[in-house]
Amino acid sequence: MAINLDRGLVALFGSETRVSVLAVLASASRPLTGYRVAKIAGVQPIKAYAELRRLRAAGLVREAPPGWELSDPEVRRLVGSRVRIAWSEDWEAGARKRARRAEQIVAESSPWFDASRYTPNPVVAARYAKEIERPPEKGPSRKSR
Amino acid sequence: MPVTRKEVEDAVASARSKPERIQFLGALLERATGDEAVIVGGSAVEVYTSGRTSTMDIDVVMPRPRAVKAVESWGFVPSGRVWRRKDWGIDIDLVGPRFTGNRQKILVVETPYGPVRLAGIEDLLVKRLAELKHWPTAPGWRESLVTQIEILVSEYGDKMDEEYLAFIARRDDVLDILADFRRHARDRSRR
Repeated sequence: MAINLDRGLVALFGSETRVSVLAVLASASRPLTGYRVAKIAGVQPIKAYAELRRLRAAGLVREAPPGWELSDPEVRRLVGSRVRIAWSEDWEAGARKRARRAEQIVAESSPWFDASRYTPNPVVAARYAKEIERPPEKGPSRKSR
Repeated sequence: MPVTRKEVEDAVASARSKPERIQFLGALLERATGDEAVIVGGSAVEVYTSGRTSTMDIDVVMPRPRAVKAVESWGFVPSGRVWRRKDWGIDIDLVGPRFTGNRQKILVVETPYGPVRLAGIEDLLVKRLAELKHWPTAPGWRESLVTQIEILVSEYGDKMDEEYLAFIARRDDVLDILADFRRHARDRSRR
């Protein structure tokens, strides 16, 4: 399994496979076949199907031919915020929409932000210094003063 | 599992977008080395924003020795800690082995070349907020940071782990600036 599962969720739902299956469905933007769920979750298809049927019986997922989807938005929110696993095809399919929304945000953006309203904290700045400072091979510095 | 130069070239050629290319290369690095590779920084933001924000290089957190061997065999040449393939216009920055974010918040994307890991959205957001608030950023870069944050807040605002976000925002003293960005996003969505 390629993912780091949230131990709390595993304790809550009772099995790593169950959490993986739920996590895949929680991150999906469209119904996924049982086989695809198994592939993304990195579990055997037979186990994924067994979990899907069990979760359907519990009312947490439903069949949306040709695939499966989460039926409970609260479970989607809970699992999706704690385990994140997606399929690149699904991700890429949503990319155009995301890019369009981002374009809109940029187009509607007004110069509202005023850095002088905030008081910098030198302790936090020092903590991030190593990450923020760019080595010369990465281009010009982004520091102003 | 060794990954040949030809496989990498095919993967790069098959990517439909720059963010997808970032994902494929991350997945191939992980497959080639057997080490966990986490895409961080601007390249992770580029994937999350579907290419609306752009970066010059792919920042990867992973142990260096095997990664260096892999990128070298794929035709990348070193320039400091950055490995460059000019003909592809790709730089890979092997940042080092230490991932400073939360592993539980990593997004794993299953690609045709195996899984690729992206730093969690909360860590990326708070780091940008901290840079904006606590660091003397150059004006052009500041505008870019504001754009990145606006997109992340609008697109992923309701998908984040609020408890964790509040914890790291407090730790990094950015609760005020985060609240302002959220208020701005709410106002914009009402218009």
